[in-house]
Amino acid sequence: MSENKAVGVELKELTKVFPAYGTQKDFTAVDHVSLSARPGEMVTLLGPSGCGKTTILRMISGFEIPTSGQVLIGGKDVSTLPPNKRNVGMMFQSYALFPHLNVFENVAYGLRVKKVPEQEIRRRVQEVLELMQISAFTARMPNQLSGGQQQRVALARAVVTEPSVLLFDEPLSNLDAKLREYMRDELRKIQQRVGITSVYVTHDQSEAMAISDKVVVMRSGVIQQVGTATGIYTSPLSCFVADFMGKANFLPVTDWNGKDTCVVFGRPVKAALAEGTDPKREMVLMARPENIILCQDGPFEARVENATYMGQTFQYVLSCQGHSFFVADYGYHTGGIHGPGDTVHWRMVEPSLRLLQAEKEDNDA
Amino acid sequence: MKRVLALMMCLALLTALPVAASGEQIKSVSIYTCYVEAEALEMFEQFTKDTGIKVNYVRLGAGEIVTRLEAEKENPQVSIFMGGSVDTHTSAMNKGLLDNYVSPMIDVVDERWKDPNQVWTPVSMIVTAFASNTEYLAEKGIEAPTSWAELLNPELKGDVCMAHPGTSGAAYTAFSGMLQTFGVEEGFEYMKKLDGNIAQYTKAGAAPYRMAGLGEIGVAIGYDLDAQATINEGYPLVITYPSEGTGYEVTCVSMVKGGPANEVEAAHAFIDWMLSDTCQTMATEQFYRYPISKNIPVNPAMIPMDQLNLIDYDFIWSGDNKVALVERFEREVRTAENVLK
Amino acid sequence: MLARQPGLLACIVLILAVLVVFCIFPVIRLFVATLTNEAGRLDLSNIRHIMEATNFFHSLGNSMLLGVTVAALSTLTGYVFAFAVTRTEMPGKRFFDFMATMPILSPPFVISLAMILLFGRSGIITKNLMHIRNNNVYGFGSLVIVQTLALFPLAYLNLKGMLESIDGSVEDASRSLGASRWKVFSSVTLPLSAPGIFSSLLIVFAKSISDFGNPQVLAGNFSVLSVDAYMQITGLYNLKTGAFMALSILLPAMLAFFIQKYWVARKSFVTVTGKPVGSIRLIHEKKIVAPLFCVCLLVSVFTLMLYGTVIWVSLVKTWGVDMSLALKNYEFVFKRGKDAIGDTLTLALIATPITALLGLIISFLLVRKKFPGKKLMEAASMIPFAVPGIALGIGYILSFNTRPLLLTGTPVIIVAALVFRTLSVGVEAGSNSLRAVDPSIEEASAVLGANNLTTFRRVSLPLMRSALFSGLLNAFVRSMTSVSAVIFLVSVNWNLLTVSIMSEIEGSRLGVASAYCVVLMGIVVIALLLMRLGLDGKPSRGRRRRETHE
Repeated sequence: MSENKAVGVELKELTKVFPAYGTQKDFTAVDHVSLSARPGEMVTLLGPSGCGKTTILRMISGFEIPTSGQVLIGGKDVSTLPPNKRNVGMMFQSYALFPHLNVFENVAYGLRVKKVPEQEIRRRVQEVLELMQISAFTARMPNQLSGGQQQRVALARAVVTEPSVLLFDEPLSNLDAKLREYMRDELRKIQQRVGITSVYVTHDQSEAMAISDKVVVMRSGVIQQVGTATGIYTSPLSCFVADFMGKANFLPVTDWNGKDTCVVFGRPVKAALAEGTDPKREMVLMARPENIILCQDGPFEARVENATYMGQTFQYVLSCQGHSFFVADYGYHTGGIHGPGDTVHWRMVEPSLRLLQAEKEDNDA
Repeated sequence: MKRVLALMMCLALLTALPVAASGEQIKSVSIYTCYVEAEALEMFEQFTKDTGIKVNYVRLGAGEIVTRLEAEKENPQVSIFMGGSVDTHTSAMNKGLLDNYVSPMIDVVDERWKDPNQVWTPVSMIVTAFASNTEYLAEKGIEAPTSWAELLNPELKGDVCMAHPGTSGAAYTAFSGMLQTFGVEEGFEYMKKLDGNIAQYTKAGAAPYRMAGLGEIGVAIGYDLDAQATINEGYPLVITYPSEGTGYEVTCVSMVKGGPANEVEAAHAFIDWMLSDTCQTMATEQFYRYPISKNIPVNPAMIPMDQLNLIDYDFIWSGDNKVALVERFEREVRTAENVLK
Repeated sequence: MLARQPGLLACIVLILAVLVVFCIFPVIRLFVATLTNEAGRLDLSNIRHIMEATNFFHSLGNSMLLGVTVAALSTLTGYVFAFAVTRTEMPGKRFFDFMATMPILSPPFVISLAMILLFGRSGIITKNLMHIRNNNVYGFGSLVIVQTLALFPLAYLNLKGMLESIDGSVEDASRSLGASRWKVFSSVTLPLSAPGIFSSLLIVFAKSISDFGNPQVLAGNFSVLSVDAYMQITGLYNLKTGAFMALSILLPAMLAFFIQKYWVARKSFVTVTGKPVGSIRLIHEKKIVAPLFCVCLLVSVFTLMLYGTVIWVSLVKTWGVDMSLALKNYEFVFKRGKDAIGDTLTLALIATPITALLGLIISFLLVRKKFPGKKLMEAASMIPFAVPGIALGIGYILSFNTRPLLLTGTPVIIVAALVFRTLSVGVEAGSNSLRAVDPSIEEASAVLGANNLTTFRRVSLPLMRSALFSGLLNAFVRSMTSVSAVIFLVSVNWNLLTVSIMSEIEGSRLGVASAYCVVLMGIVVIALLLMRLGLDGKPSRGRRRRETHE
């Protein structure tokens, strides 16, 4: 496969409002979103259903026209171009393979539309089928393939036309867990190998973490945070992001010096402060379950409410001064296990802690 | 949803109840008739007024009636077959569908019209006639045709209409009468020529008159009483008769064999009533039939029978050969070439 | 397993028995009548005679020609409408959807009648507007127009369902791979809707050759088998010949029907998972929408004009002579016709719930249960629908005129004809509805202790609500507008509106015929409205159709 000259994708103040329909009011699905993907980069739009990530994808692909704002591919404004003129490749959630064509014809479809000569079609299709390791299935019909195989055909079909951008619309959600893990690694490998700029949409944070160069967390049409997976995981800017990007406990802060020290459960704790925090707001302490360590000399005390064996970890629900929180104990092999009703001592890994603004109860999640 | 179902069943039962409840106590008679419905209604109303017997009927074509009777042979649904020509009743008799009955009123009928087998009872006579649209005639500048030969006039191409002799008693009578006038072979030759002027063969006997009345065609062939009825509605028609020979139908009424036992008396009463003065007068005054009863004068608006050149219509020959003649008609006259006009 | 559920077993046996008696037996009787002579022995001389002596082959050829032409035109028209309604932003979609299904509501002759009134020799348009004298409205051309208008709703409904169930993302995929609108249509939409197209062709073909009402009125010299069969019986008193001709329609019609059912339906590419398939992009480009719009508009306006004419004529005093408006025709209709109206309503109201319920029970048995004789039940329930009405009517007379099944003359035989003729529609609707329901819901009911009857009553039936209502409505409309099957079954005590209409048309009393038609259509429309109200307006669309634009 020829090395693609990768281009960047840029969204400028992209907005989509759906007009009032029946008894519903105007619905703003995407609210002034600006972001960019560098050439060859894999950017993931991550968020719960209804956050606008799919709408953004469809505006990039051309199936929606933005209400305002621009979509630029390779520096060119394509906002009003129809989808068949944008040269984007798309992988659909349902794969959308042509049920009446066999594997070869499915993959060759885009090339035939472009009127590529027959010889070359055969060469390129063969090449890409080999890349996806499905050359054995050339003559099969889609309904004769397994889910994973169908997916690879869909990917082959999307990349064979050498598009400037690859778009993924929750492609793995129809697969079972093990296959999902395997496929996401495969997808990532291929994307890196081919080097096409990609935008990936998913609600699964572990997926986002595994494959992305850059993650964009969204909520209700607005970008919450942009960064690398690691960056977002370790330094979330809000409770929403913290809780979405992995599990998080929010411990009550009774006193705070406005900077990096607070009081939790009666003891002073040092924690990093998110930028731009308003010192007058109420704060909570974010501690991930794996960063709460059970140890006999820990300064805090708690009662075990619940204990679940998870294989890799032992998961506890502890309650301390009336508040419950999760602990993932990776060290139970050596540290021993506890049962409901036990009293344990615990400490936190301070460098991992974050002070975040408390969120009101009536959020529209 | 269940409520809707329940509602429907209630509605159905409610409408069915009165229908089911009535009709059992009052004396009644059931009839298949091929009379025109409007005429039949009036007759039955008068009958009920005169005798108090209620009439239940279905109006079907003459041929349909015979087929129905045959299909229902094992369990006849009606007592009376009213209307239709002698051929039709003879056909039905030959299939064993009718019962004899000689009405005590039979003496009002001339000998030549009585059934030698004493099965059917004659009740009226109707005659083959032509009816032409007067505006059409004026436009074309021709006179109304008074003979079969004149129907071959090339001016009339595509403007003549009669019903199909296979489905219409009126058309069959005209057809058979014509064959008897000219002889069978010459008759068929004539028919092939006439076919060139024919617009189409309708199913019902009275339809050609309607079409002539509306100006869709120029000349219609059928029974005179239908023509007269159309004129009465206001359509511009003039009636003429074939001078070479005019065919006619003797309209009959018969008892159906094995009809409902509790209606036998009422059925006899009906047949008797059809020969009564009241009925015969009604038939000629209101519906332009020639009365079969010697006692009743013809409607003065109609041409007296002795002024028409009536042929000696052979009912038996006509009845026996109907199927063969109609099939030959289909084969030779109404051929593919003719049909695709 | 079946032995442990005696109630279920009894139900199955009962239904099978009923189906055999009312659906299979009459058809067999038809064969017997044709192939045997008076003595009851096998005798093919009658058939030989028919082929030689009558216009049989000519009529056969005509019927086939008509069937094929109408099938093609109807499917094309139906596709245009279905595509325009499901895939484009054409204005007035609800209107066109209504227009495309309306002809189903009307009795068969209305359109034929209107054609004569408008285009006949003294037709309003031909004589007064276009000054063409003696236009021959009868024959092949008019018949094609009339049957296409009357039958394209079948194609439309079929194709609309098909187009709606195609996964929208497949067309999106095609688009994203660079295909133009036309390419998407020709390489994806059309091939995927092919089963629907074949299906429509076959169904319309079968219906066209079976059609009796329209050719009866409008065919003129273009002889077709359905009318010939009728004429054999009514004119030549020849039950056997009539039966034979009816059979010659029956065989191709049933063949077409069963091919459609068992072969084409299997080839469908569409998986019925019942999952929402995402929003469907609508085409808005004028150069595509405009021509579609024009075609739909033309067809709709023409149809409206035909119906309007019938209504107008019903109000005219004496057509062709005195064109002033009067209610004279309606007076006659309600005087003489009130019996027919009452009878027809009664019979239809009795037949309808029976059809709907029986249809749903059968569909439940067919979709959810396994038992020996299942295929028989399925085929048997479809036979009366596939069989031409004439054939069914004749078969019923032959079958139910002797003991022990003495039904002629009673309302039972008419109700039976109506019920079994429409049964297949109810079964189809019920089956489709059931297949969209997850069987585990019913299993849950069973586990919670409900027996078969309770599960059916409290779980399956409510979930099939929309199918029940569309089944009810369909059954009612068909019962009211049925003609060919019942024309031989009317009796002294039971008259039917459609038969009255036909005899009025035959007698050229077009004003009265029109008035009858209007009354009939009025009843059907009222029924439609009542049922809509009774449904309390909850459409059971599982799909959120957020219409998006490109």
